[in-house]
Order: sequence, then C-alpha cells, then structure tokens
Amino acid sequence: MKIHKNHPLVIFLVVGGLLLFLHSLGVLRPVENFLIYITKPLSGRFYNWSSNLSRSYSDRRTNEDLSAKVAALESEVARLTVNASEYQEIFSENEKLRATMKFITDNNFKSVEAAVIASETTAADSRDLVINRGARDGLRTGLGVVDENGVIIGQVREVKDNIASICLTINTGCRLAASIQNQNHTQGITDGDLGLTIKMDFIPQLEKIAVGDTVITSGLGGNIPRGLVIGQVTQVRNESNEVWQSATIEPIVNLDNLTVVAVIIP
Amino acid sequence: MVKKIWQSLFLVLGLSLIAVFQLAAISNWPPFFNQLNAVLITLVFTLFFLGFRAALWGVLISGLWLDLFSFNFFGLYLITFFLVIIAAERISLKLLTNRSFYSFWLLLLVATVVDQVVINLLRYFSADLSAVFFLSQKSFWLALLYQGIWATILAALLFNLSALMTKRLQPFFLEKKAIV
Repeated sequence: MKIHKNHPLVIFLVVGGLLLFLHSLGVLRPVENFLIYITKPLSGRFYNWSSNLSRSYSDRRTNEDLSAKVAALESEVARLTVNASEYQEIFSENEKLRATMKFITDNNFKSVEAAVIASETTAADSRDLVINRGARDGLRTGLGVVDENGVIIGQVREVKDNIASICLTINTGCRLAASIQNQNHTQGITDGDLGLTIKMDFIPQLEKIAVGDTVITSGLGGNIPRGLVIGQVTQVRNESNEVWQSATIEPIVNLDNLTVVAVIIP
Repeated sequence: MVKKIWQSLFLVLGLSLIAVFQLAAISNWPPFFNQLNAVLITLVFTLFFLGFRAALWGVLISGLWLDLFSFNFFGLYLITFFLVIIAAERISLKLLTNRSFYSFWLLLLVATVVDQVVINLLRYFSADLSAVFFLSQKSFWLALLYQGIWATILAALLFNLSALMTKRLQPFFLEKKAIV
C-alpha cells in the first residue's frame, strides 16, 4: 500500500510525534500550563456537579436500605442504652480527637486549600483525585492531604506545575506510617485494600489490638505530621499459628464525595 | 469552505468539552455509570460518520486534553486512541461492508476492547511491572463488561438518532415486481 505524504496518517504521526517530542523537551510546558489554567474552573464545576449527582444517587440507594436497617438498629439502641457508661469513655476519646485536629493549627503547619477537579484511574482498582494546586503552590510528592475536618484522606502521589494527584488511603499502594491508639501504640504501615478499606499487616502477635481502636499517622518519614486520624479498626485477624496479625481499618469519613481538601506542608 | 470551518470548530470544541467532562464528571459517577467512555464513543462515531481524517484529528484533540490532566505518562491516551482508531478503521474497511446499526455496534465493541487492553498494557509496562497483571484482575473484566453495555446502549441511541437526521442510514429494500 502506497501512502502519500498528505495522507491523514502521515500528518497525524508527524503532529503527534512532534507533540510528544516537544513535551519531553519541556517546550510545551507554558502552553500546557495555560490550557490547564483555563480549563480548571470548568473542570471544577463539572466535578462538583457530578459529586452532587453521586451523593443524591447514593442517598437514594441508602433510603432503600434504611427500612432493612431499622430493625437491626432497634436492638442496637437497646444494647447501647445498657452500655451508657461507655459514653464517658467515648467522650474522652472525642476530646483526644479534637486535640488532634487542633494539632495542625497549633504546630503552625502550613496548609494549602485545594479543590478536587477530576479523578483518574491509575490501576485496575485504583482511582486518584486530581486537585487544582501543584508544585507552584509548594506541593511535593508524599505530603499528607486532609479533609475539611482534619482527617487524613490520602497523600500527594505526583505533582505538576498547576495540578497534583492524590492517592486515597483506601487505594492499593497508598502507604502511610501509622500508629494504633492502643496500650502499646503499635506502629506499622497502612495500605489501601482494593479501593474499599485500609489494611495494616505485619503486626506482631503480642500487640493487643481491639475493634474500635483509632489509627493515626505516626509521623515517621517526616512528610506527614503525627496524630492525624486515618480511621478505626473494624476487624482483627490473628491466627495462633501465625507470626503476624493484621487489622482492617475503616476510614471515618466518606471518601467518595470529596470536593475540598487541604494539603499539609510540615 | 465555511461549512468545513464550522465543522472543524465544532469538532474541536465538542471533543474538548467531552474530554474535560469525561475527566471531571463521568469519572466521579457511581460504579457502572463511571464506566461510560464518552470520548471513545465520540471518536468511533466520528470515524463512522465523518471519516478517518476527522477521527484522527479527534484523537489528537481528545488525547491531548486527557494527557494534559493525566498523571500517567504523557501520550498514554494519544497512543491508545490512535491504535483504537487504526483498528476500527481496518475492521470497517476489511470486514464491514455497510453502514448498518450492526456495523456501528460491532465497531464500538471492538474499539472498547482494544481501548481497555491497550491502555492497561501501557499502564502496566510504564508503571509497576510487579503489580498483578490486569488480565487476571476481576475489576478489568467488570470494567470491560460495563463498557460493553454502555457501548451497546449508546450505539442504539446514537445510530437511531443519526438515522432520523440523514437519509444515508435509512434501510432500503428492492421491490420485487412481478414480471407480466
């Protein structure tokens, strides 16, 4: 087959090849930054709109489940009434959590507010968020990202000049140095589990972990300050014949509809 | 000439808007809905109705937008869409002889499969070779199934809408006249 020089394929290969070549040289950077800059507001609006849509869809689904949950909740209420004394304990734990939130401001950490403008699939089971702040705003890889309540929701995975991608704590490969708020303050690394929950493996069998324990960042590594809440332990797997035990952690915030976040710069 | 300019402008603006919408809105929808690949469907639609040249320009425009916002390597979407359009063009030339609904549907399905395989292969080789290979992951097959369903729904919708607007897609039958 003879391909003429004006064939669309030839034109495409020349233009496309040139684009890739100029991008790798960095020549296109100002143009790329300009295009991202002018698109960010539109992208943000689209994201907010779709976020509201997703929320109302999820609320509708929730309503359908509610009637089934009512019966279970009634027995739960009875049990909770009996355990009213535990409220005092929860109250003190709440105080600790509030202190944790205060930690951010007290320690003079600089935080950069950012809006989520898009999300992108990075692996088969992983979806990163894209925020409207980048290297120009002082962001760098590995920094912690919190929601409006100060709960850590992920960390900066990659940065460009004007935008950055965030891996959520539930995404596989999003690893955080963590500490469980138990007697021994067990240290470990949390990792996302298929975009659903968070897991913490390789915990020595001697460590005592209970369902309901709060998991916080340990501050090791230096990029993320200590004391930010990651989630709560919902399941502990410890077999007597195993050297290690592992814990499943549920985030305490809904990571599906994040629109505003803050990146903490220590 | 003026018509051609308007057509090009419409293609550029339309595809840019769809690419940004795909990134910012569709990707944030609930499961199943977020598997709608609007950019890919638009590109195949462009190939089917406007031709190879227009589709290649479409690949450049939408690929560039997606790559700008992407944190995968630059060119991932450009290369993927290019290969998809080449595959679709080859199939439409070699296998499909008419402009029926079934041709359009088949083209969309093939494009969806090629897109998913190519994009996951490129991601696999460019990122983390130690990760589980995508073909053995349930989420890949589920995404493929959902995208196939979307392709079917939109093929029916877009083809019938287009058939209402142009006579080129109306089916015609040769009348058998009795020989007297």
